Amino acid sequence: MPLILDINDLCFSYARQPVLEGITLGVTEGLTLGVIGPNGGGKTTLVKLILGLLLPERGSIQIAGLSARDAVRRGDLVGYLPQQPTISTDIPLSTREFVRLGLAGKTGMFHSYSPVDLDFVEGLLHQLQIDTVATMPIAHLSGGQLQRALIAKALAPKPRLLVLDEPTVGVDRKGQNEFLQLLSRLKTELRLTIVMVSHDLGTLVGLADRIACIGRTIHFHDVPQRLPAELVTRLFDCNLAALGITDPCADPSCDGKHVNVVENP
Amino acid sequence: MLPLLAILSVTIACAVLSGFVVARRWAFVGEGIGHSGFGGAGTAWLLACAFPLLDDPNIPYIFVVVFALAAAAGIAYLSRPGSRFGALSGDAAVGVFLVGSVAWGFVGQRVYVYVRQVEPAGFTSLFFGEPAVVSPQYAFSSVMVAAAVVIAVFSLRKEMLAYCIDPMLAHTSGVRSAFIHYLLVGLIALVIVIGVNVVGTLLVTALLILPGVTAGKITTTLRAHTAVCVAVAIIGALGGSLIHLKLPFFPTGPAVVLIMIALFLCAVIRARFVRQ
Repeated sequence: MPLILDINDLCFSYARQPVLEGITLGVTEGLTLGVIGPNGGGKTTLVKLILGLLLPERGSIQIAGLSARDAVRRGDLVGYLPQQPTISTDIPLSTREFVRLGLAGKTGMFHSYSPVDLDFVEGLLHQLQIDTVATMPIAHLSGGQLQRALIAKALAPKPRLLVLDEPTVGVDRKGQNEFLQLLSRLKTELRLTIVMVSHDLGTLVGLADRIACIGRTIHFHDVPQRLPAELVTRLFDCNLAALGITDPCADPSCDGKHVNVVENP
Repeated sequence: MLPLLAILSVTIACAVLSGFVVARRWAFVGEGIGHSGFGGAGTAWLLACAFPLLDDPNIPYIFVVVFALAAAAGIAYLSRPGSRFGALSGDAAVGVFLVGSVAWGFVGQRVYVYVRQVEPAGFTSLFFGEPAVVSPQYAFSSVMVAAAVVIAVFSLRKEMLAYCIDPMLAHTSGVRSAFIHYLLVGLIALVIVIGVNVVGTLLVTALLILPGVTAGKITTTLRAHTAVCVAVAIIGALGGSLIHLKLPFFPTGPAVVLIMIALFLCAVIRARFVRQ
């Protein structure tokens, strides 16, 4: 399977303070990559680089063969669900109108939305169970409904890559589980590739096909089952059991050789 | 008829931008651009002291336009999300232009008074407007600018809405957010420079804010919001002109603004009544 996201030797600094150094990782189409790491480890900076909001200092990011900025500008390659959206509700947009705005980039300036895209949006509203509030102003939506509307907006242009930045922050455990189930269903139905950033390892492990652990450099990039307990203890100051994850190296047959750890230089 | 045409054009153009100004919290941006015009007038008065040929009541308006557009470009650059001068973004950027222009304009006015021993011509109308002396050329320009603003807004409505609801989400859905940012600030600057002659630099921002906040109080759909914005503008323009016609001592600009404020208060009361 081809790589949809190809990050090669990525470096970025804020005011000469390195935040990301030598990040190299690829995401195969159809897989889910969970990005974990401690606070200040560069996860959100990585998201901003993938979204073309920041430019790499060195190295490159390619999305479906395009630079990150060009891929985002196409409007139909990348969808994004932010951590804490700062949506202005001063203009009384209905949920339907709000979701349709996700098509603005794909449709292009001076053009109207295509009927096919509008039909797809109607399908999304139904799939995400917000069709009952489609005519309601977004200011009147509950937190859960707004999150679903944001997902629908991100998926409206049928993106191939969906980027989520800490989408379950401030959501209770029940809400998190519902969200993860929804995401899992959408991934299958829409054949999405997902990059999900979270500091909550427990949330990611059930969903991700691969885990990348980032703390300035890449410390680990492999299947979640091979995540070494020592790394979790070092980066998160807790153990795998506390996160509800079985430590693969607790198995006596484990020789530790499968663990792909890149030590911080 | 010409003053009414100019006032209607200015108020309607401001009204269609009003929702975006309120959503982006750009009231202060409008204030900054409007007040920058005073710096332009001050420059014209200083030059008039040195070059008597420039001592013409129409010259300051040219400088007002130049300064307002330059301030708009500066504010747009500094307040753009991701600007290199992020530390000076938003309100601080506007504040720098606003106080700098007012200080410079005041210096120009005082020097003029000291040299010529009279107030510069059009000093009061710069603050509060003087639509009664609108020329046919100015009325025609107002109609053209208003038409351009309305066409631009309705042609790029989805991009402007996406940008004003959330600039970052607009960018990530492929909207040319930098272009829309500069375009919106440019359109605001345009309506301000045509509005200065009608309601003055002090009051022009009111035309950009009051229709949007009034509509925001009583509407729940986008279509109704736009309709109420335009209705507030038309009622304000017609009402203000009528008051000036019946009571000539009552200036048109302040009358328009006071009617819009009365409509806003009615909307607040109605919204409270409906909620209860």
